[in-house]
Amino acid sequence: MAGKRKFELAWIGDKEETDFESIQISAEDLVACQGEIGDFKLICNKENQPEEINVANIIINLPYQEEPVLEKADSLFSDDYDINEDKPVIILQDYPELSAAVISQAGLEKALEIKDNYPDKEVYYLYQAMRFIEDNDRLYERARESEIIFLKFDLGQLKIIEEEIIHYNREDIDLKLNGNILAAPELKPAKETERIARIFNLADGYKEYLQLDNIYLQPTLSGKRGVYLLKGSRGPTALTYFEEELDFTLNEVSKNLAGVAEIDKYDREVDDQKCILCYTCYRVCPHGAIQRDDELNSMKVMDLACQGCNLCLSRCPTNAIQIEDDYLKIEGENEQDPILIICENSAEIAAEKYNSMVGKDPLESYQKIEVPCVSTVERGQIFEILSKYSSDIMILGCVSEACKHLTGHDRCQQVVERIKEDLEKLEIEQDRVHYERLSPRMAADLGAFLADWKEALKQ
Amino acid sequence: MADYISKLQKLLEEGEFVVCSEMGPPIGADPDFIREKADFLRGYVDAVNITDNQTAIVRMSSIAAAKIAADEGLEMIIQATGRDRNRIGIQSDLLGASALGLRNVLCLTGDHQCFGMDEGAKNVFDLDSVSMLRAARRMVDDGVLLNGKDMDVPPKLFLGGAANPFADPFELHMMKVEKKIEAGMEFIQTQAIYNLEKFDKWMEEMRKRGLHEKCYIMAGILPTKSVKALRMMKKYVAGMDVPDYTIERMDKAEDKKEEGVQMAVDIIKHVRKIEGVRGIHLMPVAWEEITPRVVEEAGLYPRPEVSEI
Amino acid sequence: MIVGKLKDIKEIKDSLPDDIDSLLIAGCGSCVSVSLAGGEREADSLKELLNLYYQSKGKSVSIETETIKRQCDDEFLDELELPVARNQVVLSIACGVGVQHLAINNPGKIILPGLDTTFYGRTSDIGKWEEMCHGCGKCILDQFAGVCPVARCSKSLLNGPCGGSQDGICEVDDSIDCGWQTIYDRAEELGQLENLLDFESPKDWSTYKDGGVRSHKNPEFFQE
Repeated sequence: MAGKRKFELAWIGDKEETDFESIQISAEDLVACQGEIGDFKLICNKENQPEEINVANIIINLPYQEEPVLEKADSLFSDDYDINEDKPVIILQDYPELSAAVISQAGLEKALEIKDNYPDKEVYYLYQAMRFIEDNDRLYERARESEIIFLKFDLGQLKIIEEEIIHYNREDIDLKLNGNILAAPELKPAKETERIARIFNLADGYKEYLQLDNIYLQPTLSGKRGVYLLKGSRGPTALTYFEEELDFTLNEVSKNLAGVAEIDKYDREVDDQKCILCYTCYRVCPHGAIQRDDELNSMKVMDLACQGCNLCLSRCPTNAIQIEDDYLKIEGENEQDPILIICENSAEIAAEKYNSMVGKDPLESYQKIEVPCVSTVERGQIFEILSKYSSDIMILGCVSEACKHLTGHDRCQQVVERIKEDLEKLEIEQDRVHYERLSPRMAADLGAFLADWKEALKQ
Repeated sequence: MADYISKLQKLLEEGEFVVCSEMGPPIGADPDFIREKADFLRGYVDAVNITDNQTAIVRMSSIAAAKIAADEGLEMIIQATGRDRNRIGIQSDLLGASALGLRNVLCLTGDHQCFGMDEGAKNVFDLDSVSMLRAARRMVDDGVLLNGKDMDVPPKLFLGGAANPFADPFELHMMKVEKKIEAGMEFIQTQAIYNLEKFDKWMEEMRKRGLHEKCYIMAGILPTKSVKALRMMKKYVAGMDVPDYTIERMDKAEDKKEEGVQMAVDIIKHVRKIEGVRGIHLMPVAWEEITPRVVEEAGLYPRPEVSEI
Repeated sequence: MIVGKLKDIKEIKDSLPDDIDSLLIAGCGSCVSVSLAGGEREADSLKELLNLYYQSKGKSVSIETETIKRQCDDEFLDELELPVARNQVVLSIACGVGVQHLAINNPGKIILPGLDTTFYGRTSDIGKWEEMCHGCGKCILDQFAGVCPVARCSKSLLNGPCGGSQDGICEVDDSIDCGWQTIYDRAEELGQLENLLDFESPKDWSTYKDGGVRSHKNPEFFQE
């Protein structure tokens, strides 16, 4: 076999010029991705034979699909448009929905280009909102000076009558515009998006793109370490700040190449005798950190990819994934105190803030279990606590779209709901388990909130 | 020697535009229930359907109820459903029906039992409507049961089935209609028609495939006087097409009864002109008493006398 | 694989005898683990829940769990021999096969089911399974473009669809896809629509349980 070369960076989709040793792979050719950050193995289809490419980082840079909004219109991005000598040119932006900001720029440039080439031609520019990025405010000034006719519209004021005729009706203006229409296309996710999501084990994103709406995934991070998302894999607004995002991403790649550390000191071992390859851990892992170990015929947790949320541990049906014992102990002085299971990314931080604001630890008179994510919470564990202790349990997770592990807060909710259902059916202890969500900034709320709960418990 | 299998068949073959109606048996064992209904339908319709545990609600069996009505002088169409009986039961029923002089049978797959009150019942569906038609065809034409055994005297049956011009997707359901005709279906009763445009299109397709000549098509008409009923049918009955203009028309009407009759008559007049439509099938849900009036106002009264077949 | 779901906890609790003093919860590490219903995790959490219940009623019941690889084969049952012996009642959360196999191997012992076995299904998404096969004994998938009319049509029609199929949805429930729509679509893709126009004879149900409770022997292995 030829020397196994490892590339520093792989581009899935379009390639940008960089100083890294990089390789470009088309989304169609990609079949599978194994391994983790620093050591990915991309399996590609080379004339129906698998070819393995070793890379340290991956950028998924898929182009958008452009869907025309009007059949007979040319795309605003096209250089190949029709100009009929006798008729005016109509540029249509923001139809039927608001276009991405960068389209304002493309539209203005196109309008100016046409006016430059055909100075006597009437050029109409129909828009719902003009967004300014960089210097397209100057473009806009120039466009107005060149006597391009700008017509702002709300959707009710615009009707497409026939293929090349637009009826614009607003207050005292009633125009039937008949001419060559250049319309902003609707930007859609690339057609390989679903496939790529499966190959990389990425969760379904926002509006069918690959990136979830989550504060921990800005600007180009995917849930999977070492895999970055640009342009058509992220969403229509990703085009606007493409340059900045590219810079950020390449910077991350540099940092990665300098060295990546494991997220915590715990080893998560899969007992290959117990693992039944049900793929539950693989499917629930929000970070794509689990893959199959072909030699042992069991799953394995990849230490560098793992972000330590423990969802795999808490959901494995055969308890095959183990972690060291001392990891989830209850800390507290008094066994009668209520028990808090707190996420280190929200409640713990909020508590520290409260402490620095007020000079008092709001968690003082509670027994605590500190967890990296409330996805750690398990049914059996909660029932066991309810048996051994007499007080209530409060689980404090993160608010929507602010879970560091993307799905932990919702996963915990599913467990808690099932617990409550069962307790209700058996008519026992139904009010002893509580689940609330917090953001790390809710310090004052945390204090007040815990105080209220304590009062309620007394009764 | 009889030329025709049933009076209904004779009328259709002789080119009459037939009028069928429908009767639901009682949830009980009272034969007078049937006799009363037979009374006011007599003379106004050519043949009457008698449903078979429709929507999986337990009622007096179709054959028993049909016999009671037939004894009152009505031409009856029994229904056989795949949901409740296996191939043995169905063939047995067909033999019994023919022996009792009941000659017209509608072969249906059957509504799922979840629509009735016995959701926990085991369903059968040993035969679907296509298999049932095929089995009946062989019984009638070749004198042979499904298992190949010869019968001493084969049954005499005129075979029909249901079709829904409004079910989507079009191609899928058209495939089923074709199969039923190939299997031996001789007449069709359609789902209730309100959307005339869509019905026209369906008939066009039926004609294009030559199916209107292989099978007598009867247009389903559901006279109603209730806006609520129309709305319910639009919303809840899968495969029913009730256009908004129909609901609006009934809503605006002052005399709902009159409007209901008029609407039914209008639809009848329209379908009568369509090439390939050979009759109507009246299904006045919860308004059976209006049948005579509708028949009269549609200009379809009196009905032709049928002597012996 | 065989798919099942854990019984309603109230139903499980009610099925346990009033005078119970010891309980073994027997889990299974195969199909019901993969369908996230009856594996070691579920056995353990069931134990904790029942513990909590009995504790709240002031009853003293000792509960043990033991999960073996499969409950449908003799050799694995050895591991259960002692736990079964020392417990009054056994609650098995294996599929119906496992429960009965345990019962056959432990005459005189109360073996209760903790799982409702549902169907032979595929995993269509994490936490979601769909019925695919009925074990009819005579596979006809070649005739229906790879989609089984017996298992995926609510009426098992061989000449479908029925009149209740609307926009690809079954009349029984909105959540059920019309099996015949699926058959039609797939046949169209494969250019096999003509096959569907051919009349399909009624199924020979004698290879199904209708022909009698079934068993079979592989002559290459079975020795009288």
